Amino acid sequence: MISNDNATSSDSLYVDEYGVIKVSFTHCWSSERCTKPYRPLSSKNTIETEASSSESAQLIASNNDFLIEILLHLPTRCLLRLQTVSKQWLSIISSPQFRCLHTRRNARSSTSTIGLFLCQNPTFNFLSLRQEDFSAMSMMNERFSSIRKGKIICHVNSCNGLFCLDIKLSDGKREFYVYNLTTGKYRLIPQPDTIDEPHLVKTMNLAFDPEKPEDYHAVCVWLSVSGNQLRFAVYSLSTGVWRHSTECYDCNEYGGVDLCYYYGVFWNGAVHWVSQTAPFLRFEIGNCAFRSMPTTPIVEGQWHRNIEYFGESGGHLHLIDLNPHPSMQFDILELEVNYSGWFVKYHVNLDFLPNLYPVMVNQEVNPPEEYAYSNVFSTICFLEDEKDKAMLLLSLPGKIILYNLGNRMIKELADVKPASFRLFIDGARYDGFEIPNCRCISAIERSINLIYSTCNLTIREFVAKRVFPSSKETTKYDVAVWHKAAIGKLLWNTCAKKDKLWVQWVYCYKMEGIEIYLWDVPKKASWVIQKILQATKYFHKAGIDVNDVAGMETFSTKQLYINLRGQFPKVHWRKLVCNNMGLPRWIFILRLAILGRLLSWIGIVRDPKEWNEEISWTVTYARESSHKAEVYRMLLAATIYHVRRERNSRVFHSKRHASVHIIRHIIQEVHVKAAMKHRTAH
Amino acid sequence: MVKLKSNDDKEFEVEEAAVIQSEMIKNMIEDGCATSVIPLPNIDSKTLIKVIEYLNKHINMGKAAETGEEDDLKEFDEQFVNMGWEELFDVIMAANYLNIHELMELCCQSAADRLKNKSVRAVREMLKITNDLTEEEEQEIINDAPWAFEGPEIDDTVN
Repeated sequence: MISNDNATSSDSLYVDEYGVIKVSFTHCWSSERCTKPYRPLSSKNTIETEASSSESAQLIASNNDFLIEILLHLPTRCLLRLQTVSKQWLSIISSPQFRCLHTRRNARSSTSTIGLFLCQNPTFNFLSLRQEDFSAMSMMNERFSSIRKGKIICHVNSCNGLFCLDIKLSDGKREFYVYNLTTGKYRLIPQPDTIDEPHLVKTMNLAFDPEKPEDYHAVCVWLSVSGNQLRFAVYSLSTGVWRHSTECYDCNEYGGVDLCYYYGVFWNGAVHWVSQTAPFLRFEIGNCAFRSMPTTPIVEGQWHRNIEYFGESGGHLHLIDLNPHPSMQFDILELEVNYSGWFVKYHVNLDFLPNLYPVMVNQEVNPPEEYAYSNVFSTICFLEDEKDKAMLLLSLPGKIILYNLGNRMIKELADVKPASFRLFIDGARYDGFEIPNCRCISAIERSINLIYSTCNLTIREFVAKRVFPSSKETTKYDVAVWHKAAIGKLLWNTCAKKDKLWVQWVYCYKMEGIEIYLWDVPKKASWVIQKILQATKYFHKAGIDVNDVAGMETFSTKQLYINLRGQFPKVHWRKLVCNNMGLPRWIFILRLAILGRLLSWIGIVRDPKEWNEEISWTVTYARESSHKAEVYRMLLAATIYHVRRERNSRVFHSKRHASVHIIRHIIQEVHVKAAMKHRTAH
Repeated sequence: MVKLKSNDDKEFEVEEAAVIQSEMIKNMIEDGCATSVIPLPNIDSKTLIKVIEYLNKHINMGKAAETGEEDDLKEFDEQFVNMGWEELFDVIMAANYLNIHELMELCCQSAADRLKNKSVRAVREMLKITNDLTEEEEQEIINDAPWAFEGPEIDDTVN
């Protein structure tokens, strides 16, 4: 049953600096990408390439669009290396836009976990599941130990390839860092602001969705010591803002001291925590609030669950509960995507294991109570990929093995200390493997770089952007205010133009001769007349004495309107939206976009970058009525419209179009519109 | 049938079902601009033959999955991209111009596969790129991610 297939892979031995872990590869866990046959070019083709100085090769190599298209297909490691090809390649690969695209693209392609960190305090060792990653990962591991610079790392947790390090300083304080293992960049997560009571930070959890790489968060759970309540705060790593949840979790009421002690699991836009005694908890990042979540029952006669594993794999949440007794048969539960409940995904029977690994079996005749297990193992993690290939990573005394639930094959991954039964129970099991320090890092390739692409915003810029938004700048024509001004004019008419027939009619029939200067509205008057007479309050508002109204020679509705509305400066970009030939819906969206409301309108708080520069450029260079400028303005409007439409189609119809496709669409539409203008001009 | 004309004035007749895999030609047909010959000024006949070969093979993508011809198609794709760099780039440009998404993906993936495990020097040589980075700049990048530059799988040969 043990595959010891030396033919497929050469054994390699790795002894780390402490000599603690020895990893021997007795297998080749090859990925799909690896098995894809690489087709060498035939010799004929090689000659051809060399013979001609390959004009199109140069064309491609010098054309960013094609180059980006090709580079997006490469794995992260290659990209990091190919940065040194030339300045052009460097600028493409290191640009945040490219990295975002790459991360997003790879988020869809593979979800395989490539390895895990084993914590054997105080060292962390990396265990790679694939041989091809091994050399790369061991080097990352070195860097990993170099960044802590002698500080103690209490916890590590990972979220889709990004790390959150919990570092204990010498004065007992704790610092949290986001760390990108792929690039080696890291950033401090500041302490939550505005906490003015004694508190204890319980966990810091990353919430990073590779589909949305530009927007990622850290969720901080802190215990308010006085109230014995768990409070939650979300830190946006892209804008640098803390959001505090108004809700809190009352430990007195629900119990669950262990809740949030472990790191939560990020899945589906929320962080999830399990507890051995209390109900499970789900915290949604987007609206900063709790939601209920199905909880597994506690076996009767017990006061707690025995949760062996809780984690995410292959886009699902999995849970292993070993109650009532740590037996060799258990269920792997999976959470329904709609949170309706847990269901049994796999039933695992490991009864054969002790036969293969006698070291698991307790051979003591009269063991003390705390060692009274018949046999031991510990589940490190459960992995499942897109093709439902399910594996369990198990730790036994002295060994880490990978058990394939499909073909029931076992692969030995590593020899670890300790090898004895007792040591396993109170040594490795509780010290090393069980705490989620050794959460698997999944698909590290995804996170090519997030840290230095985001948040270079200084505090001053931040205040300028957030606290004083340019809200007064508006071209919006307020119809309601205009109506009030128009009613004001009617009032002036009734006062000043008494010779007019309708005014006389009003006086005769509706007011029954009451002088209008009394300003009290006759109860008998009709609704319309009452409205007109009530318009005195608009004059008050506009700062005009009502008694002057009758004396006015002329009356300007516009003036009253402006007084009512208040003076606003004309916006400098009015030429972009006024007389724009584009379709009205483009212009509407363009206006929203200029105001910076487009994103907030659709619920995105983050500001687009360099947009203002873009607009000021457009204002300077595309204001005149030349054809070129006109087309540019239309293009701007059309682009924004289509980008928004694409967003809607992705969100509501889950349909994606390639950017090329959209661009083509825009070009076509602008072409048609411009051609129409051309025709009408002649 | 739709007539396509390459830039060296050769005409090709292609079935409409095949040719509408190209978004660009599909749009042209929908707009009624494809009544006579469609001139393709950026594509030479050699490349166009390749593209048409691809289009004809992929004529009914959905059907292939049903009838189990998927492997067949895969094999064809593998054979198809087995060509020189120059030819491949020509096809990429043609695919981009004609807006044939699958062909673009296929060719870019193939190009990426060729670059995947190559050393920097080999990539420069293959694509005839001159290095305009200074040594210090290069060293800085290497220091940033040294693990990307070492490893047994990195291939320094040019082919």
